[in-house]
Amino acid sequence: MKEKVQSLVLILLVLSSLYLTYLLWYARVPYEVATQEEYERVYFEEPRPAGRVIAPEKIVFPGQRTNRVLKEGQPGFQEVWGKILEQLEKGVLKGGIVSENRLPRGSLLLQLHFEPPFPIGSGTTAMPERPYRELAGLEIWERGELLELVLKAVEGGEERGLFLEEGGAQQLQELLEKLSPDSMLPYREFQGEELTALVDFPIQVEEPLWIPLLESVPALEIAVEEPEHERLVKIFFTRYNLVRRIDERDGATIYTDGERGLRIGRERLEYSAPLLEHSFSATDSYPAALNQANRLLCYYSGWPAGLRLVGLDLVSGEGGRNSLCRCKWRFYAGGLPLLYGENGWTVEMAFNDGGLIYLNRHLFQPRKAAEEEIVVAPFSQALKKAFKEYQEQGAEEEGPAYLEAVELAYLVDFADSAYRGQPVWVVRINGREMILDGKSLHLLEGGAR
Amino acid sequence: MNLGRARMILIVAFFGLNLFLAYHLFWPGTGKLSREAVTPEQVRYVREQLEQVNIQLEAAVDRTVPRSSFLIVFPGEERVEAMNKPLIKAGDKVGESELITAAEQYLRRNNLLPRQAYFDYVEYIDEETMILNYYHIFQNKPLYSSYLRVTLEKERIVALEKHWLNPQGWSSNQENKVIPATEALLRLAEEMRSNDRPRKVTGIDFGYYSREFDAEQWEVPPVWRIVVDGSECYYVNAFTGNLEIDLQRNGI
Repeated sequence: MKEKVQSLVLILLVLSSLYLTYLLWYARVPYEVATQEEYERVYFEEPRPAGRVIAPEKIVFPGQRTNRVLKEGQPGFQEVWGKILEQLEKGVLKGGIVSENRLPRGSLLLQLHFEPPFPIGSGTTAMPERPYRELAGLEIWERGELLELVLKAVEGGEERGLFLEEGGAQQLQELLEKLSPDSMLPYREFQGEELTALVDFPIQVEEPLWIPLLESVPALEIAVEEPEHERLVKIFFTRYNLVRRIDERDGATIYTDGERGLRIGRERLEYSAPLLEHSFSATDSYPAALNQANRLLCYYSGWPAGLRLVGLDLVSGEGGRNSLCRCKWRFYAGGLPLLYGENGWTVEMAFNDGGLIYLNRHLFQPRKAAEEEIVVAPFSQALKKAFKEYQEQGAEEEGPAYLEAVELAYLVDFADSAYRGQPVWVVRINGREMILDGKSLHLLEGGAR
Repeated sequence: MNLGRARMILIVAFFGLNLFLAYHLFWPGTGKLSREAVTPEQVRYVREQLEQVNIQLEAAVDRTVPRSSFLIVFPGEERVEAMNKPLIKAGDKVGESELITAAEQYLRRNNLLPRQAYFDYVEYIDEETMILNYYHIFQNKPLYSSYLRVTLEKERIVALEKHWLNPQGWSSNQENKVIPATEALLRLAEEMRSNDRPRKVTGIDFGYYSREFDAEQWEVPPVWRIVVDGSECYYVNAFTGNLEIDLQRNGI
């Protein structure tokens, strides 16, 4: 009996050793790659409603000689634009409700200037029943109790005979009555001859130039956002546990998975995924590009109040297809833009159908306008100074001097261990931009670009 | 010896063999079945894919799939030095291995060859010049971004290039699974799809690599280093499967 048990045990041991040898030789367990792990989706915020991607560059209330202007960052700007947008999205009344000869004589109530253009019509949320077009401007005329819309297309031409619904028109007028003209910026349109007379230098303008007539601006405090590294890494990298960290000597931190990189510095963050640029193409559709820009900005960076989309360009690539789309946003405080960095944009972004290729976001934000007012030199003096610099640089030999912009802005400045907004005049002549101290009119270092 | 005694000896022997086999199969961390493995069919498939782009797989493929985390490093010693140190007496003739041994002895005597340096390969520049390549071994794992290159010319050491990092340990993040060597080879085949001359994969090893940074400290990812034709190295990130690229050159 004992011998039988021993034999049985021996046979079992021999068989099991054969089986284990087989396993060792041909071991196969399907491997699981790390990508199969699940990751939480983290993002800043939901995209804005499609109609809120573009905001007007300015809303003009015409006056006798001086116009009053509302711009991004001013109280009332978003409310007025929101009310007009609401009416456009509800649907306006088509012409024919009143015959033209029975309409009372109109007066211009307000003008909206769009830069970049505002898309309306088919495929958009504004007046979707009408054909697609891109607007450079929109006017609202008072015709008795009716408010008539005049659409100004980018390619020129205008369309009349559209009216706001009675209820909507009334709400808009009530809202406008509540606005104080003192809270708006005084602006005037200047022709080339008037400006030439002011600076005693032949100035040309392609179209009448809007110039602010402010004598002082509020002092502005600037806050620097404290970036949350862990959250940002989870936002930019889906497989964030595969992301490695590099602590640079200047205090910045880079996170990378080898193909994409996120650099978080003291004053800005940069993201780059360069390989996407050549692997995908970009959309040809302007509204689709706007939607994608909106989605990417909100997911990756957030879209705080006061930040306005100021440019969107589709960049051509090989084979006639767009390789990427470039967008720029700028912060506004009290209607004046905030400038910083080499090119003054708050956020720059490039993307294509493959996703986000590049994002450069400054971490500055306007905090609050202080009680203190800073006196600024009149625009005519700023213009004289700019043209003097222009002549000293020998640029007048390049040909006629086209004045492209004269605007007041805040330049982010670091002084007394705090960031503040320094009022500056920005004058652009033939693409050459000069930044002058708003008070002393000194050309600021790096101010000519 | 009677039959019962022989049976007992065999039982003990096979029991021991079973223990040995089970240890190699199931013991955590070392057992083959405790990790994910690559099948011979997968290796065969990769071999065929490489052959389609004119590349022969001559290296042995590691069929295990280890787990790993990032290696934290600090900047270490940077040194580029021209030298003129004869290794043998004038007129003596020695072979390559004797020359390498003589070079290593000299470097050790002068504290130029760290104990953690591991001889990698010889790169031939011309008939009279060759470069000895060493990499850094940290806790039995190669750290390819930490290296030493010694240039020999006519039996003399003429230059030394040392980029030696200071590894601190592993990132506290949880260990992650890495891609198998076969997947790294497929990535190489994809990268070299326009290759038109016969080439050979002469080595594929697991280690750590990243480009250099002007940083206080950084994390180095695990990689599969694929050596083509003896001296051309490709580093495939063993977490992501991406080829490790120069981020700075690519605008990051």
